[in-house]
Amino acid sequence: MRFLKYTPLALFFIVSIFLYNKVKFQKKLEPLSSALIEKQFPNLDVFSLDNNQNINNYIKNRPVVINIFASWCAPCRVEHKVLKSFSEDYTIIGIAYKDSEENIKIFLDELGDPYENIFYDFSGKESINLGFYGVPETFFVNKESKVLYKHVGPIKNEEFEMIAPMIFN
Amino acid sequence: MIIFIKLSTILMLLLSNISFSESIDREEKKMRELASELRCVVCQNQSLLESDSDLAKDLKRLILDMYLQGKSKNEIKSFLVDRYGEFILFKPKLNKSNIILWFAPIFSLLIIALLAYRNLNFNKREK
Repeated sequence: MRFLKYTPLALFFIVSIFLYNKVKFQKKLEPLSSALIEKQFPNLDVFSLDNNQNINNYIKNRPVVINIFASWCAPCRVEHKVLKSFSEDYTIIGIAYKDSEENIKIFLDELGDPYENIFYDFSGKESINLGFYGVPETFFVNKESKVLYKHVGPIKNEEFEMIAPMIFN
Repeated sequence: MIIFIKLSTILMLLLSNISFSESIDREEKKMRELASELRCVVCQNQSLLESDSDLAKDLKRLILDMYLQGKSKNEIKSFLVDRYGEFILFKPKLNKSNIILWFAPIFSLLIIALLAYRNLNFNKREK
């Protein structure tokens, strides 16, 4: 009985230590979905329209930033400025999600084109292989085609600036 | 004779059609069962089955396609976990990182039982 009165205190300490560890040793770069992080960029059946090139062959042996976007997506418009400001320093590749060539062209004519090349996922099925949540999404992929980071939603200047350099290492 | 062949062909086509739609119904039932065990990733308090979002519809379509291709429930589950992580399962698998969580109820029950046994004197009351 003597010790029983200390149980709440003991429990409190155990829970505190547990929560403290959770907060303290949280992985620093923990995006919404970590299923793909540190893994190879999956094989996708998406192709560019100019010479029918496959995306996996295209990104082989080069560090790239891959951005899933659509002309019908409003947050993509916000994000577009950010991508444009980095398009000279980084290779940015677009995956057009459930979109048509004409609409993409109108979109890029209006806002400018930050993409080195655009691959088309017309059905939206291929993006599921990337653990897709919703447009826009941005993947940072290194030379060995390993996914280092994934950002869901429109990416901000500061985030891009912070994350992007690691694809060169 | 020709009429007989025509009729039997039509009958055969009809029958195969019925069995095909039956198999679709069966696979769709399996798909609905699996979808109810999965989380809709874009509207997190709904199951995939209940969700009406575009992505959920695509995922349900994909699950149905995989069932029609003859994939098993576990194959489809691991396909989705590979892409979306354990997070997509409503009932997470038992593994190293959550083993404490799974056994905490039994463990605490044992401790409380032990404490109770040691501290409550049952014989006293009878006297």
